[in-house]
Amino acid sequence: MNIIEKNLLGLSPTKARSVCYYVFRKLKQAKIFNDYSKDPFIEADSSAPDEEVMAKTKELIFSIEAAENTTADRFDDATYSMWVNSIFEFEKSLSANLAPTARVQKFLNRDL
Amino acid sequence: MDIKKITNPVLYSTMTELAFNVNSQFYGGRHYLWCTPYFGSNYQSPHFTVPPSSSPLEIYTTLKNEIVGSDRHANKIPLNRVGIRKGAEAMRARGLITEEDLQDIIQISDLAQPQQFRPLLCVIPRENAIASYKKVEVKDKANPLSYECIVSDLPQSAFDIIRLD
Repeated sequence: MNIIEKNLLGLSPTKARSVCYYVFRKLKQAKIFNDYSKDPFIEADSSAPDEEVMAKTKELIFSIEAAENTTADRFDDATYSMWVNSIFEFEKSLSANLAPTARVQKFLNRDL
Repeated sequence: MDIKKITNPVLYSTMTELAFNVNSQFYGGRHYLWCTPYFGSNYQSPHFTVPPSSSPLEIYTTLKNEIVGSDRHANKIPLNRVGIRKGAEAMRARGLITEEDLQDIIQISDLAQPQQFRPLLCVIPRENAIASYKKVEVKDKANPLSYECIVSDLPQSAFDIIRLD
């Protein structure tokens, strides 16, 4: 079990997906969040995370930074890419691997 | 920042074609946009006060590069996939889509090809954005002049979309 699975064990898929999203955002913009004092959780009212999601996000970021022995804003490209890919793969695994519905097929075949 | 403090007449935002289509089909043509009054052609200027990654032009260019595969550290498209799923979860939580819709959006975001993440530049008259604006929560303590805001539930009729090809 890797760090991501260990931290998100027991969370509902919805909450685990939210945590992945915020960790992804935090890693991607770590330097910017520091330089601009932006809060990775701040978005529109409707998508504000609940306490458990915020706590798990912070725990996972802390675990990742501890594993790398540095803060996210100091990650080099290879380290950043490795964690982003790991989070993306985990988040993707939260979805049931079903055959696409007819509506999905039709949607994917459309043009703007 | 509070959109009412932005005096520029036009706001810009970059979204993907896939997000646009999801919003159109599943959310009644209502869009969720991160906006800035700066298009971003001068994002290296000291007067440009949003992070480069928030520049609509920079986002547009990054997405284009990822689609043609010229960006070795591509992550904008994966982040957009995750963002679309996260947005769908939020819409489901608000009771605005069904569980079937949610599962279909998740499948769509999984299966969409990179070309379906083509960028679209959104040009929004400030007055139209204010009409759909709820509350801006972007805090920029270190840079209070950073002009970014979120507009949610913006109807498609309130803005124009442009492709810079």
